[in-house]
Amino acid sequence: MRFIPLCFVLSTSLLLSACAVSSWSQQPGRQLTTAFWYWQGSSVDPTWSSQPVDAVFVQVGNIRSDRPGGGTERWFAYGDLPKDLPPARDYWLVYRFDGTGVPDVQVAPIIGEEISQLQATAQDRNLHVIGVQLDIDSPTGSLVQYARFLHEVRTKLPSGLRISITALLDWFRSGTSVDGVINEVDEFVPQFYDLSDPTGYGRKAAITAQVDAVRWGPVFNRFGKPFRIGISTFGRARAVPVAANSGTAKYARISLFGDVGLMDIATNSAFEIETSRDPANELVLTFRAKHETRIDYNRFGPGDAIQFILATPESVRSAVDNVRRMHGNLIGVAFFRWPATEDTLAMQPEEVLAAAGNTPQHPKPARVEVVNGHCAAVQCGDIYLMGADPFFPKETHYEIRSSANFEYFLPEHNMPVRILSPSQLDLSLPAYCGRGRLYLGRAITATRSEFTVERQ
Amino acid sequence: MRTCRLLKRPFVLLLGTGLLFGCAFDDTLRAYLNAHFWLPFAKSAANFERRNVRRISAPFAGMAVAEGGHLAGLRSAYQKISTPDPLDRPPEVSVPRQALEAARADPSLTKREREEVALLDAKVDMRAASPQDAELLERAKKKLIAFLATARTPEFRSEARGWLAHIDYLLGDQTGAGKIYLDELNRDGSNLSRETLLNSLRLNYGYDGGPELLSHLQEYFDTPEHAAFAIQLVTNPHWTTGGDRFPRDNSEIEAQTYSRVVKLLEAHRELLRSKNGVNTLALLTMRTALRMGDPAGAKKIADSIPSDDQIHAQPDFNWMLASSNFLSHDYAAAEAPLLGLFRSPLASESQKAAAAYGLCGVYQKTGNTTEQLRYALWLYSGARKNQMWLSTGLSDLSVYWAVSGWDLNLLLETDASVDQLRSFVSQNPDLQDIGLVKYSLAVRLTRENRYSEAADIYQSIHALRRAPRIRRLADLYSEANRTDLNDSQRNEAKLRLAEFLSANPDRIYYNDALWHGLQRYALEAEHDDRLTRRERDAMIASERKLQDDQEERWRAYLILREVIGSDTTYLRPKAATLALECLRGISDRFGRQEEIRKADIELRLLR
Repeated sequence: MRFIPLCFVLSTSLLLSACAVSSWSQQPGRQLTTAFWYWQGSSVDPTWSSQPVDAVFVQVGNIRSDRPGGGTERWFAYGDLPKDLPPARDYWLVYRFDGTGVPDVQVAPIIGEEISQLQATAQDRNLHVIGVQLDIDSPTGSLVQYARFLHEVRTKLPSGLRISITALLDWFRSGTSVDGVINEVDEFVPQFYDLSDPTGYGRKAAITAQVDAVRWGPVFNRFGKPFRIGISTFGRARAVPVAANSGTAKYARISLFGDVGLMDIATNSAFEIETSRDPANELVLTFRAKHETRIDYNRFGPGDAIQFILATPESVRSAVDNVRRMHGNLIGVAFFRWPATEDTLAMQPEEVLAAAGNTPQHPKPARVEVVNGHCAAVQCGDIYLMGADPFFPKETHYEIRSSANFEYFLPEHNMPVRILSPSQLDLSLPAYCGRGRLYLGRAITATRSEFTVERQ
Repeated sequence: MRTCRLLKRPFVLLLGTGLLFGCAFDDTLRAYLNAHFWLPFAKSAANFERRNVRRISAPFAGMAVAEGGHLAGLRSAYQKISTPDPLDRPPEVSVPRQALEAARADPSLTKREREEVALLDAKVDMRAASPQDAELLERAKKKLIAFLATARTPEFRSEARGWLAHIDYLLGDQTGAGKIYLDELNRDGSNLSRETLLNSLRLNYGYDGGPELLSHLQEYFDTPEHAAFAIQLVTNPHWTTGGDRFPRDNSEIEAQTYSRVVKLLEAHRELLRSKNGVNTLALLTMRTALRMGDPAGAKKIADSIPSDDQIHAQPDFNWMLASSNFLSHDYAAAEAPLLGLFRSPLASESQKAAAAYGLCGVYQKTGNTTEQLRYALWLYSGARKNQMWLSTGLSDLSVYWAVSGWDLNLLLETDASVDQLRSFVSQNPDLQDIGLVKYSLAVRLTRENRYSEAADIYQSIHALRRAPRIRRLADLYSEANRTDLNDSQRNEAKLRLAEFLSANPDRIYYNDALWHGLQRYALEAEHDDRLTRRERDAMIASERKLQDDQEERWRAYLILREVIGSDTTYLRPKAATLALECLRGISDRFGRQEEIRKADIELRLLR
């Protein structure tokens, strides 16, 4: 008789847990944690008023070495906490190693000491630092050495701090020593972007790699350790010579093109635009030169192109939806990266969070912000446009009105804005250019003025 | 060869250093059109120093010569640990502690010597503590406080206060440390040197005290001196010089900060009146108002002060009154306080410079070019006398010196008329650097083809190369404008005139005494966003005229066009060839690119 209640409880528990699993697996909207990498160059918009994100991976420094006079190799690890950080529940301090191979274990105590100091600084600023992430692209053949390095680092870290690592997908093919590496860490973050050299002969434009949950879920889950998936939200520009597409010159060089922004090309009449989407749903904007032209010191012949590859809400949503299907020890996604204020190629954090389903999609209307220029004898202010649709496929007109007449207006270089009337500006925003915080120019009025904007 | 190689490296280093210093230049121009220029003067610890403080210089506890006995032993042991370790390693203190015990037990010590021992007890603890050892530092602090409660020897008491402040600094107590340092700075009989105290205050507060000072502001309202120090430091001006391409609007944050300051001033009104009368409160409130971007508020406070109040003699008051007027666009009203500041015996040289540069702004706005010239010249002379080459801004008051000299240069080149320059020279013959004005007048006269007058001036100021050159030019010009010549003769004379001009670039119409190769950076009216539209249009036009008037090759080209367009056809090929050379010799900075390009095409056909 005593066993009946026990059996009842046991079977009920089993039934309930089965329901829980099945209901969990049937929850397409399961809330994953979201994290951003905050990299060198990232900056926080003071108007960012959203709730704190779950985690921020802050690049605080680099691990590097030198060999003075060709002698013994010396190792360094410098770190600094950025002055401004987005609000987050947890922070991870990231050290990056840009070299080939794996850092020597002699740098482990240096990392430990730096982390101690950074942790103290973070504490003074009320930042909840929970761990250290090492961003080291170890060759697959050096994973045993990498595991030894991680083991050594752990012994030097302040107690209570966790270790996370970024991970290359190649590590997880069969026959590698990745188990030893994962064993040494508390979580790992495989990155599904930049799987190949964007300037390489393969000439693929895509940044994001499609997330195959069916294939990768079991691979990552077998370690029994928490993992996040790294997803790209940034963009890139590259110069693509015409020969690269025609195949007439096998080694025509594709080069990354960081010198110039989307607006600079979109307003240049020497180029015409072609749009497409890659398999990951990133937007590919190809601006092809109609005739010979120069941009700064770069010469473009007819057919040469500048290509912008941009993450989109669709590419992010698709990636996140696929990631969700990995289940198991998956704890969330990490987005690379938090943009810089003037970044016109990376998605804004609120766009990313909306695409990931973390926040409701309420696109804010376009608005202007004016930053006082502090002139003594006139009123001068820098005008910024925010909230324009970055993916609108056609030219859009915005009318910016001032409550006082303009003395004059000094537009930003390559910004297609003109004075329409004594108190109105017209902005002809080219297709796809409404990203981030757009600096329009400086407005000068005799008296203080209020500005409004209306999309036409 | 070996010598050459030995010399090569230091030579390259020297050249590189020279290039580095040579490349940086000051670009201050019309700084009075920036609102930040008119912010209250930056203050540092030295501004709060009372004059004629009587200091002493007695040996610190433990540092006197050791003569014998237990005290000597203690002194000797302490002296061994008194120099800080360069790596901040705490010293071994067992020997000094033993010596302390022995000295304490010595019945022969005098009262003064016992005080020395007690102070050394605290100092040994302090030396033993690393900067992170809060516990030991707190122990030392307690001993110092206990010491100060009973000790009578003035030099030891002063020293103890200094160490107490030092420990507070190490423990991160900016307020505690700062108050002690400030009090010691102005205390008669202090045993701490002025330099030590000023350095300590600088280390403790930096430029404006930072967030620490802001969060502890109310704690400074225990004495008027502390309050005045804290408020002035926290309202020190900042000027972002454009390094941030996308600056943020911090006005809301600043408004909150300074609103808090105003409330504190209101709440402690009686404290600030108690010692110095109404002046301190008025000055602090005006300063805060200006810092908040409320010039009308500052003006209201100034207007409420009786005109015979001694505050009107204070440099800070005059500067702030002028600021509030200028920023309220009442430029004429800013003149009197600026003149008051400039003439004040209480004003420092940099404060006078601020007044002078401010007056340049006032006179630009009121159209008094002659007085604008006077004060621009004063600044030019002063900057050279003080060997100022670069201005870093408000924090060191260097921006007030208009170091680039471009304000003066533009006055001499375009803003002042020839008659105004002539009148200025005749009314101020003994003014320092009046020679520069004379030289510039001569250049301006040549641009108006008044060569003989110009040559006379060059002669009078011993410009030994320009004088004969301009006389020659006068002859050539005269010949080319003779009315008794036929067309061919006149055109030949014009050709000779053009040849002479083209052979002397930068040596006739260009003022080589002013720009040192940097003129292109000053001719920026088109991009200057601080001007009214009328001012901007006028300046753009005058800059264009200056570029046309001062370019020898362009003027030669214009003369040659007359020759080419005349009936004297045999001169055309020669004139066209020379005109082409002239145009191609003109720098891109001159502008008129499209015009020059078309002329180039046309002239090639005529050669």
